[in-house]
Parts: sequence; C-alpha cells; structure tokens
Amino acid sequence: MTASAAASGLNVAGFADKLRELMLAKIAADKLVLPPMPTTASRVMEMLDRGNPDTSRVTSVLESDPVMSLDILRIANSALYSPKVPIDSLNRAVSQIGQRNLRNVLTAAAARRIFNSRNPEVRDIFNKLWEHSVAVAIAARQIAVHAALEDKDVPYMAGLLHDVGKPVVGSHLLELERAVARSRSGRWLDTDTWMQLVDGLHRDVGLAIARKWKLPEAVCQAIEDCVEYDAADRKSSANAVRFANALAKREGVVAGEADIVQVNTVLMIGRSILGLEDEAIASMASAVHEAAAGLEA
Amino acid sequence: MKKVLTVDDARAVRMMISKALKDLQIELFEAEDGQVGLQKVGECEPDLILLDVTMPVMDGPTMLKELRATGNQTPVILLTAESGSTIIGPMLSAGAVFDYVIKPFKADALRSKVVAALDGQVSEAAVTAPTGAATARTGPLGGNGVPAAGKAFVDVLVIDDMDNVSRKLRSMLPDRISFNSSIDRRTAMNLCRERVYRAVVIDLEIPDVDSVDLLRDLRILQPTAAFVALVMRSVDNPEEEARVKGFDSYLVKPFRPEQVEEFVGNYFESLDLLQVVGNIMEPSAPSDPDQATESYYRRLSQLMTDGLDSMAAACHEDVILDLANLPPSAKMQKMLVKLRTKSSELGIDLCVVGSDEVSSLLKQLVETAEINVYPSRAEAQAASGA
Repeated sequence: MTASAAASGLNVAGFADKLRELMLAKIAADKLVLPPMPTTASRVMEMLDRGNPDTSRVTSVLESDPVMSLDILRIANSALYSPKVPIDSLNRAVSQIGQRNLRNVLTAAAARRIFNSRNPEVRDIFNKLWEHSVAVAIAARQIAVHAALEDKDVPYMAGLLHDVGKPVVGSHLLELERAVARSRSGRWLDTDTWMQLVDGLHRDVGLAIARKWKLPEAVCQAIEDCVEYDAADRKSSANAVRFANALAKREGVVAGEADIVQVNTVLMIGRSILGLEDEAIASMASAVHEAAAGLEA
Repeated sequence: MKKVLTVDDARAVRMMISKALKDLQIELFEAEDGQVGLQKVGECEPDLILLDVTMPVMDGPTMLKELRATGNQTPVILLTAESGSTIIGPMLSAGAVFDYVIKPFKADALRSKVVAALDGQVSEAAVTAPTGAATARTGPLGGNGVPAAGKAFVDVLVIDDMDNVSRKLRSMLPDRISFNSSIDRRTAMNLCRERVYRAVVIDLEIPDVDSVDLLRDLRILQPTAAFVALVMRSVDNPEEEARVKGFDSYLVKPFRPEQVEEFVGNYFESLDLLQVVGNIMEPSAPSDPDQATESYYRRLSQLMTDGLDSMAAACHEDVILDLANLPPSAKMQKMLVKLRTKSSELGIDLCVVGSDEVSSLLKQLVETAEINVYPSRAEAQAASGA
C-alpha cells in the first residue's frame, strides 16, 4: 500500500476492485479510446494490401512523415531486425527489408509509440514492457523456424503485440485512479497492485487494438489464444507466443516479477508440444538477452 | 538393471511405451491407475515413473501427492494429453517431476527423456544416420558449442535452384569435404534442422525466394555456420552485395578454381593447419605439394602471426617454428620475413627447424639471415633451453 493510501485508511483491495469494475465497464461499452494506427503507416499498409507497390512510391509516402521515417529506421536497425550492416537510409530500409517485412516494421513502429510515456511514474515499466515484447517477438519467430511452423510472421507480430493492451490499460488506470481519488498527485495503488490490475484487464484491450489496426485475423487469434496451449494444434502461432512469453520471463526480460513455477510449467509443457530441443531453447534464450541488451544500448 | 513403472489406464499407450523403450536395457512394470501404481512402487521400487494425469480410480496428481507424502522422491515423467498449466503446475510443485511428454508422443522423444532421467545409465540403441547423407558423419558439437545429440555433421550445404551449380561445386571440392545440396527453401530448412553444417552457400537469385530472409532463418538453425553468398560474375561489386545482405563471404559463379580453393582454405583447413604446443608452432604438411599455394601461405602466415601474439602474452621468450614438413620455397621465405619482423616487435627470439635447403633459403635475405635453423626439434629445444 502506498503512503497516500495508508494515510487515508483506504482499503486498497476495494479500491482496486472499483477500478477494475470501472475499466471493465469502459471496455464493455467500447468507451476506451484506443490508439489509432498512424496515418502514414495505414497508407503504406493499404499500398501493400493492393500488392507489390513500387518501392520509390512507398519511400515517398513514408518520407512525408519524418517521425515515422525515423521510427522505421530505428526499428529496422534494432534487435527486432538486426541487420548485419546498419541501414542508414529510408530507401535502403524499404528495399532491403522487403515488402513482407515492411508491414511488420510499420506495425512495430506503431506499437512502439504506445509504449512511450512521458509519465515518469510508468515510463520505466512501459519501457520494460516493450523490451519484453521485442524479446517475445524474436523468440516466437525463432520457435517458428525451429519447430517448422507454417508462418513465422504471425507468431512474430503476435509476440510483439501480445502485451500491447498493457500500456493502454495502465494509462487509463492512472487516470481513473486520479479521478476516483480526486487527487492529481500521489499514487494510491502500489506498483504491484497496479500491475496485477493491468495483467487482468489488458488482453481484451490488446485484441481490440489489433483489430482496430486491421491486423491479419491470424495475428489477432494468436494474441487471443496465447493464454493456454492448444494441444490439438501443436504448431500454432499462439503456442509459439505462449512459450516465447514464458522464456522471456524466465530470462528476466519482463516488467515486474514473474511466477517462476508457472513459468517453468509453461516451458516444460511447451517444449514437448512444440518439439523443441534444449539446444534450440538455449539459443533462443541468448537471443532474448541480446534483444534486451540491444534495446538498452 | 534400471526399473521403469508406467502408470496409464490405456493399455494401448502402455504397449506403445513398451515398444518405444524396448531397445533400452530396462525392466518395465505397468499399472492401470494411480492406486495400482502406488502398490507397484512399493513392490518394484522403480527408478523412474511414467505417469498419466487423467485416470479412473486414482488420477496422476493424487498418486503423485500420496507418493511424495510418503517421502518417496522417485523421478517422474508426466506422459499425458493434458496441457493445462493449472493441472500440470501443481504436479510440478509436488517435486521431482523430471519432465513432461505430450501424447501422442514420438518414440524417440520419449526414449531420450527416459535415458536423460536415468542419468544416461541405460544403453540406448545407435542413432540412425539420416538418409541421403552418404558423406555425413556424426559431429561432436552443435550450435553454441553444445552437443547436438545425434545430428549429422556435414561440411557444406549448397542452396541453388539449378542442380548443376551444386554438381559443379562438388566436383571442384576435395573428396574429404562432405556435401549436401538443395534446390528449394523447404528442403534446405529441413536439412538445417536435422544436421550441423560448417558452411552454407546460398544463391542470391533463387526464384520466389528472398535470400536475405532465408539467410536470417538459417542463421537461427545454424548459429555456428559460415554463410556464403553465390553471386553472378556480372554483379559489379559482389563483396559489397554479399556484405550488405548479411553474408560472411561470397563465391562468384561460374566458379573459379582459385576462389573455390580459398573457400576451402578459409572454412576447412584453418582449424587443422597449425599445431601449437608450448612455444612450438608446427604447420600441417599440405597433403598435395600443389596445395602449398599463395592462399595456403597467406592463411598459415596469419595463424602464425596470431600465434606469436599468444606466445608473447604467455611470456615465452623464444619460439620454435618447426617447418620440417614444408618444402622450401619463395613463399616460405616471404612468410618468414613477416614473422621475423613480428617477433622482433614482440621481443621474441625466433628459430626454425628445417633442412639445409631451408637454411640456405633464409641466408639469402637480410631480414631472415640471422634466424637460426636446426635440423631437428630436439636440437632447437636444447639450444633455446626449453
């Protein structure tokens, strides 16, 4: 319990329940303002949807948005894409990444913005969440390669976005907390309680964002289904994301504390379901750390 | 003999387990539910229990709980179709759950987990070599330097949609280099899942294949392999083309003999080219005198230069180069000029083991005239006081 809450004698558990109710009501009534896909990214996605657009036209659309251009260059050079030679121009990024990966990079750039916060109370947590998301995306992609999944882009995107609802829910919770407590300063919820609330509420919101961004249904499905293994469809993207999520947590690339028994259970089950060898898992664990170190650098 | 108890209500599953483990030197016991399982534990005192979760009379979680309550810590492998973490998690918390195998299972997967659970104290049937790998051998190491259990080790994989390309390269490589080829992405990916390669050669122009994307995936499967781009001779700057796309090096096609020779030297000879023991460096003799070419000496020179650095770091005051295996040549002379300069910079005395011809060769140049040449290693060691 925080000092503010303790001083007021407020029941924190009751307060948290109240916030949860309000959030659920907001989500159910579709009154939660969800972040839109940036216009430039949408335009380029539409061009990609129409099929095989000219690279120079794509570059020209992106250049009209300097912030998005910078984001794309940053993502293209980050641990998410890991080029051996740094990509120093938008034109090269577009031609070298390829149209298939460009869609992923655009979505990643859009998602990254959601995890940005000027609020010093949550900035570090949101950054950690992004670091975790990147690690999960990279590990999920590696799982797709090792386990011969049909598609590797879907687990990658679902891994990147599986927690995208958390910063949105987290920010709304902060606002609600202040409104309910009628206080602009001081926190009533301690970070752990706040994170528990976020954990319990984020899934639907993340899914709603993915749908609003018109991401492929397979990605939305994987975000929705990655809460439990599907033993009937062993090579599913959702299974890959579930395993990758647990692996990142075991490796400490996570916001907050992880339940290590739960994490080890998920890993043990997933290793058998996905047919992963220890050697491959060790390699993924290294990639998870490299991803985190790459983002910190 | 190690004893394994299978607790599963399905007779078919128990039979499958028995079949999967028949090659192991173990004694197998069976029980059809948890209650019988507990009795059998008392009777046969197994070294390992293969435990199903959902069973009539007494289920797996209950049996495990009761077993642990008695203080019995026999390792358990859960063998079940149940994948929910809310059911499996508490069983793990009960302790000594060694592993988990989902049903239906592959016999190999179960067998390897049983062997691991019994600390490898059972003999396992020999691993069958993958088909179509006549030249493959079982390698000691896989990715990250850890054993790649049962994976065949192959030197080269060539991925090119035109079969003739791999045939041509095969014909230009020494026979001792093992070789696989693939004309499509899917086969290449499967080969890389099953085997460990030292070098993977990828054509940059395979129709409908993004070579950069393929490279990215193959690096995941082959973290220790070198990746070599196959570039058309018409490309302006093949080195830059390969580098920008993330490859380690390149080969131009049609192939040139000297480039293939360099490829072999870079990836298949350097490891065995030089032996270093204490303050003695001895190059391996070229199997073919014609092999002692420019690239051979270039690699040898680089390895010996690095060797001098290591010896200086290890505080050796003198170094013996045992060149008795090498025929005297201008290339050897050139290499020794470089090594003499390097050893002087490091403050290390350099002497050579070689024939009279080598001695005469070194006397011809001012830079190498002062190097002492001994007819045998023993004499060189005696002179250096080693």
